Amino acid sequence: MVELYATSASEAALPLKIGGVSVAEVATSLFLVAPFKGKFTQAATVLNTQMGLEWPAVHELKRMGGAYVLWFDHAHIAFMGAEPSVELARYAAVTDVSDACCIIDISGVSVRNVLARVTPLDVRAKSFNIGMTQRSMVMHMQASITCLGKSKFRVMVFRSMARTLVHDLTIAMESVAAREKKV
Amino acid sequence: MRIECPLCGSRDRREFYYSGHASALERPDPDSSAEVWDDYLHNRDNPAGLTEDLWHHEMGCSAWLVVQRDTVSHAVLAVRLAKGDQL
Ligand SMILES: [Zn+2]
Repeated sequence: MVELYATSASEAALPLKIGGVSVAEVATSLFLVAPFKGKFTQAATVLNTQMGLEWPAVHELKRMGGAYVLWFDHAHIAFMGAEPSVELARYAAVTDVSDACCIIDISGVSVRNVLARVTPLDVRAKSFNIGMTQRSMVMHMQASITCLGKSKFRVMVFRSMARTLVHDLTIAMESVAAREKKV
Repeated sequence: MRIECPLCGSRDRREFYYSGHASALERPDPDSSAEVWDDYLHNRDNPAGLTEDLWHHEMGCSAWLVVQRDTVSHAVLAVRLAKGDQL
């Protein structure tokens, strides 16, 4: 029988460190959850009773140890590193999209300067703080961007865009590093 | 030009995809006459002034929005989620 091995989305392109900013791929399960029509209350109750979590509001990230539950779009929330309880599937469409995305963590003191070059979001700490998640563009890619720490963000794009993501981040990181070099 | 998404907040126009007049939400009864369907599908006003368009927040929360704007001044006057409107 043929043995199949999972490969990472970015393959050999990561990890990457340029100047004071590092990018590392995150190997995690990823599930999208969309409540069925009229079943939001039941789905939220199950999330609360089975997993001890409030349904994340717009832009909200909930942590559960190493696992994350976050607002994903107008209809979905996302589970990262945690499997949604089976019970939830009674009231919501639960989809395993683990192999559909490229997920990276980008960190370092200049991370906000790097992100400012690739997304139109206001990435200053006063507008995009720890525990906040937003949907926007990273260059021309649809992205989910989450602030995990003062100088740490998680960025998620479609898996088919993994190399483009690394390419665009590399250029932004090089540009920021070049500007920061003491003359 | 910026659009205030009710979910995401104020965002650049590039994040949105334009999809014509919001009258698309007022789908006629299936038994309506051919003239009514023809009007619904093909005929649009071209106002100089107030209009309501459908915009998709394609690079954001994926919600469909009804955007009220002024075609003369380009001012965006009001934005609401299309969800909940008759479809
Ligand atoms: Zn939005």
